[in-house]
Amino acid sequence: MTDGHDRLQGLLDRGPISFAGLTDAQADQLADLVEAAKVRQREQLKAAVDGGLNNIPRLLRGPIKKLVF
Amino acid sequence: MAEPSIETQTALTKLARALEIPVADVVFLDHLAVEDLRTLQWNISDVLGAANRRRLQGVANASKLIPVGLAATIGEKWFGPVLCAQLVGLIEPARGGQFAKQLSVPFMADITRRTDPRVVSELVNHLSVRTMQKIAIALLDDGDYLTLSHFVGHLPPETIGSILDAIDDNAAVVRIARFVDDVSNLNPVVALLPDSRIVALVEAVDEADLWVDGLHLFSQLEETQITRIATTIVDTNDGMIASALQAFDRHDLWQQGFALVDHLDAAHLATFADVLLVVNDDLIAAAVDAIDTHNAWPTLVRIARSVEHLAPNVQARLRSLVESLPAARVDGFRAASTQLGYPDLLSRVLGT
Repeated sequence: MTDGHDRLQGLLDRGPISFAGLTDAQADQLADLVEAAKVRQREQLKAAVDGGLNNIPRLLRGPIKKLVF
Repeated sequence: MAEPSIETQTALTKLARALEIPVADVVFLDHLAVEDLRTLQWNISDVLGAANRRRLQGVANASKLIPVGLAATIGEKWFGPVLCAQLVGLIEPARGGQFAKQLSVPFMADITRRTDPRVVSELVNHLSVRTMQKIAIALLDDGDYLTLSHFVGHLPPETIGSILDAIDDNAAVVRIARFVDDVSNLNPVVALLPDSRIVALVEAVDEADLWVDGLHLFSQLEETQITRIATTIVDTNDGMIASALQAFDRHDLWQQGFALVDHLDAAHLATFADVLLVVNDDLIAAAVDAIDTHNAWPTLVRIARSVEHLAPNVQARLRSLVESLPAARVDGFRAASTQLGYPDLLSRVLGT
């Protein structure tokens, strides 16, 4: 197995998917897309939680922060 | 390079949706098997869903501390559809139903677009049919057929049927069906549709020239439903049959068309023959070429086997057609006739 395939397998690592049809460069390209999606999602979550917390009554912010973080 | 199949295009579109990127960014995967693309899409959905699971569960738990109305406002105003879609599977279904009463329809449509359909089976029990219909209509207003197709197979057929009741645009229904991964999941839905709806769907296929998608879809249904659709095309009117034949020729769909014809009973075959054999000569020539190319002689045999019951002018047309065939094609017709148990059919057609 090559670097691109290793990277992809490590990222997905769930179930039997055959990536034999992918070149190493394609596996790398797909791994980039999955990683970018994960980063984008994490940033969206952080922005959403920060924005939401600012709009919750002050008294509830503490308990809610404890639950979320 | 050949254009990817409908299944590959659909799988790529769904994969791009899972990654929240344009489909052009995943076209480099178009050589993978459709099943691998589908597995990849679900796999990526799982990985992205698991990536922030702990924090998302915290958000879901926290939402219980505040009134539904306030939580819904925060969801719509601050969290947005991407995050809310990830919460769908983490929030108690009953509470999800309460949220649905507070959220705007366009926002719920946006959430639905991004929701993993595998997590909604319980939630739909807490949503009113009217709410689901409104969401479906909002999605279709945006030209989004893919999202609704994604839920077929994950919702009870009766629920899908209820949603379809609200969709007047029959061409849209065909376009939704085109994106369904496993067409076998459509069988129970199609079985629930009244005959009048089947007629309307066939008419929509014709009016919008959706024969490519339509035949691709029809051909994958179970035998009972294929027969129902083939019969409907013939029963609608002669104009529909002629229009279908022209579409088969225009889109090179003869093979799929012959497969439909093979589902007709004798009476409908005779009606079909009445039209087929009196359409213009170019179309007949194209049909015969296609019969030869696809070795569909059995289809012509089935059409011709009741030759004595055809109208006299149609009998004459069939006779002149067979007489004009080159020897190799006559051999094909004779061999298929014998194989299907009509060894004297050629003589009967020729009146010899």
